[in-house]
Amino acid sequence: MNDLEWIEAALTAARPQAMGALLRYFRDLDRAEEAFQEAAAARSGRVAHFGRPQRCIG
Amino acid sequence: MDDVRKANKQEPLPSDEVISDLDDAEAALADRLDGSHYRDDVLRLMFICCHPDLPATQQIALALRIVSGLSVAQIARAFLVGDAAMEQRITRAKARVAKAGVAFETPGVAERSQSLAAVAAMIYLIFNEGYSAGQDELRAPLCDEAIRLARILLNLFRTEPEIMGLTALMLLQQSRLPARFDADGEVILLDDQDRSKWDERLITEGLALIDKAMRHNSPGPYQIQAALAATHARARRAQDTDWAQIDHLYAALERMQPSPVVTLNRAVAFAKLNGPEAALAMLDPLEAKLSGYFHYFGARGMFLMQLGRRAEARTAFDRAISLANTPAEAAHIRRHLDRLAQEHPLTSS
Repeated sequence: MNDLEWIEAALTAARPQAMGALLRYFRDLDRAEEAFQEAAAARSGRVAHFGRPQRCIG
Repeated sequence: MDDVRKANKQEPLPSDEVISDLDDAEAALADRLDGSHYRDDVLRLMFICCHPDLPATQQIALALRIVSGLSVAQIARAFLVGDAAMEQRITRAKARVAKAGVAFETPGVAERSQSLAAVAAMIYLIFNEGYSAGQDELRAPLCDEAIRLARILLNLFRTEPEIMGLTALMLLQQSRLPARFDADGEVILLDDQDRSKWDERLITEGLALIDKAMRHNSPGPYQIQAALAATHARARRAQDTDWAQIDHLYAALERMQPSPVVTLNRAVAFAKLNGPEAALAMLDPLEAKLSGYFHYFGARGMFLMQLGRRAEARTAFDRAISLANTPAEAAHIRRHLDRLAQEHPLTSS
């Protein structure tokens, strides 16, 4: 799985909970979606730049 | 007292595994609170997609967009409509939901139960959209997506027997996918399927889930339908099928959720136990309600064919073809018509 596929799978998995929490916060579907898209774009950019986050084992 | 303190100091410290409060003492409570928020957040998110004012197609489209995150173009392709039309459909659905208002307070037990039932129905709609599409590569993945959404729900509501039942039902139905169509894409009926092609992994998971659900002793429509699918899954060969059990389960479903489609399905089991004539008698009163239903005329044609009433069988099959939802369904009925024509080309009955 390349980085792009990995980030897509991670975002798909996180989406229901993240969108649910954003909807509770914004109380508006479009604003929740927009916030999720922004966060997803930012995270994708970080993965593209720094690679996948490493799980802390220390 | 000093002796007790001294003795305690001399005892070795317990190992890390048995210490439950290695983290902040409030962490577990915080996790539970977060967990309960998440449960209701996800349920609310799914629930707004199945507002009763929304037609089924809009519910599915909205859920695929909002919950699953599919793009408008992906959803449009799955429903064979243009991007602009789908965008409009989703926008309309969102506007209707916004106008109706969404409850943001933590739901009570009754509200949560109602929301769960509505969400379960919406997930099963998505599954059926994929299941009825057969091998269509754009719509068939909707089955996997519905199963994924059901797993999310099950993970959040682990003791809800109906959510276990729904998940089991979809897993067991999906397990037959590799055997449902022949090389030409034509439908293979359950009795004729190569059961060695059924997905054992999905069957094992589905059977375990329905067994677990049944132990809660709180039966519901999804559990009964899953139990029906499980009865088929447990039969290694078509002739091993426990039709009496299937008839019994359909009778229970009829009592719980009366519908002409359930009676039609029961008639198929009834035919196995009591012959086509008895099953046909069950179908007759359903005709007015199922006059636009492909499977009604397909089953009717089959029973008539088995009874040797060929002209009536042909009429029923012709009607079924006109009502077929997919090319595979039409091809399946055409095969019966061809067989009737080959066996008795010149006779009219």
